[in-house]
Amino acid sequence: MKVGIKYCGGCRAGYDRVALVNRLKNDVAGAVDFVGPDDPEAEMVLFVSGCKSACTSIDQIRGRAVRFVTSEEDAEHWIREVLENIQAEIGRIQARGR
Amino acid sequence: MGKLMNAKEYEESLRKLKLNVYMFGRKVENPVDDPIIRPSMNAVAATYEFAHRPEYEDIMTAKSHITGKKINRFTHIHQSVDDLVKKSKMGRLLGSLTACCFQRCVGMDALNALSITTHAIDAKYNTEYYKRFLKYLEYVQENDLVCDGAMTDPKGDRSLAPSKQFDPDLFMHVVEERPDGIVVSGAKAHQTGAVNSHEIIVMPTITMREEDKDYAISFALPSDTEGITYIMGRQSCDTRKLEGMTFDRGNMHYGGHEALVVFDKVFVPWERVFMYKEYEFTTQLVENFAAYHRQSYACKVGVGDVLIGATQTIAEFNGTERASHVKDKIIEMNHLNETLFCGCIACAAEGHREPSGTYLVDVLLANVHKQNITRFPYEIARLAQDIAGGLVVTCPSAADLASPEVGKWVEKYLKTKPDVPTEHRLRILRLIENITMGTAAVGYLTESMHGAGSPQAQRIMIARLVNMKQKQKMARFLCGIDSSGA
Repeated sequence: MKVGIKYCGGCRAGYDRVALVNRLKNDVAGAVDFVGPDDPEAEMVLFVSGCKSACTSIDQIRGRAVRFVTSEEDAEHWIREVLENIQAEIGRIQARGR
Repeated sequence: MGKLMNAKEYEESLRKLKLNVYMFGRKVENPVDDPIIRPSMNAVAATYEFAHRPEYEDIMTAKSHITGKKINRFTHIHQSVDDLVKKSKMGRLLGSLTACCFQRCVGMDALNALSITTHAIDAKYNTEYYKRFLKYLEYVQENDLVCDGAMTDPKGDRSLAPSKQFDPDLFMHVVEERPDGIVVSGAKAHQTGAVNSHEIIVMPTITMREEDKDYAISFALPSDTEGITYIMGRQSCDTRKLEGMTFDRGNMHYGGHEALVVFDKVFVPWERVFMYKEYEFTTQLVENFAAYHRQSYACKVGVGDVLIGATQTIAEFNGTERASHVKDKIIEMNHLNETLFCGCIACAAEGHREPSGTYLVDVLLANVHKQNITRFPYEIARLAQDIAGGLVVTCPSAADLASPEVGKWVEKYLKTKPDVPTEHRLRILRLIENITMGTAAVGYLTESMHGAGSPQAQRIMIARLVNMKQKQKMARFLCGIDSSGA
């Protein structure tokens, strides 16, 4: 799965956005390839916003899922979802194999 | 994409300029590498470098309305309220990343104000200023240039109009009209980032009347045009930068600068003239530029972020961070700083579209914001010095700490905790000193007072723009003097 990363400008970020993305890359390594937001192969674009205003424009994103991360907790939820989806997919593949 | 320069390319572009710069009575042959000027160049270079960083580009870049290309926001004409809000956010962001004046907002504000006024003059006189302006704007955007927005004349005797001064050059004026352009003389004072600029955009400094129409001029020139001389302003503690890269400079990376810019019979071709004697448009140009530039003081919120961070750090180093009055003072610093942020966001969020298509901030709220800026940084700085303690002005130099003879005493007696290196304590104190009374205090304090207009200028605008009649009407209705009002 390819996921595009788009940062807000970070004028008063409540957390270290770059450090968080680096952690994401580590936590879902092998399951997700992180690419630029304009990459046409990205199935989803993750908007990494430093605060709840999430002011980044999503106009440039067409035909792809969009997910906003505005805190470290949001990122945890997203990682859990990704890993759960992967587990579910593995389960389905294993079930078909049986 | 247009030419979105990076820091290195910007630096190289400056090296090609043949600026006539003087400092300490001597000509500066190489401003880019001069140790006193260099930190200010670094700060402007940061506006280029951060535009390339994914984590900042959403604020630092925009889409040109004339070419559709991605450009540095500093060359953009605001096309929406969102653009205005992002401009405020960019100010805070860069202030927090540099802790100084990054010098590039004034050119952006000049471009936006001129986009409105050139359009308005054309509408009345069927002139071609707006067409000229758009051509110039495209040149600026395509080459990603730094423009010095030059408004403030020396002004001589403040009680006299430009044409009544004992020396006609105390306000910029036309001295000769030629078939191919005009010749101007005068000066612009307090020019932020002038020596780091590719272009200089000149505007009148006050409302002009018919008798002053020779002074009602606006134009743009390359900064190294023959006849332009830059005389650098001194800053408190400036020569510490001549001592090498010691921590006594406070900010190890960035700084700002101002200069007195003299125009001695300088030729301006017609295609670079954006106002020529249309004196009745000077008020609009001055007020709109002032409103944009008063919004630009969003940058002080970012510098405040750094000062608050430094203050919390010194409190922790000193072991005072849990004292209730220290915690309360830091809360107060944050309260004041975020109140400033409210103002710059509010004037942007309440912005509107002008006939040219340019979005202009709410002028009343921009003036209220700048009025707060003339006060709150002083209080934030006072609280920072209160918490930092007297050592902020009495601590020995970096050279003393490094001295084989006395370094051990500095190390021993200025240490607060085993896990806090004395050098770290001195470094953070020097940063607080830098922002509150050193070179950066030029930007954080006195520029906050007088930049974009002194406090009284905002108070005049506030008095003019509030709807007092409506306030009275509501009061009179609610207390029963009048029977209708809602």
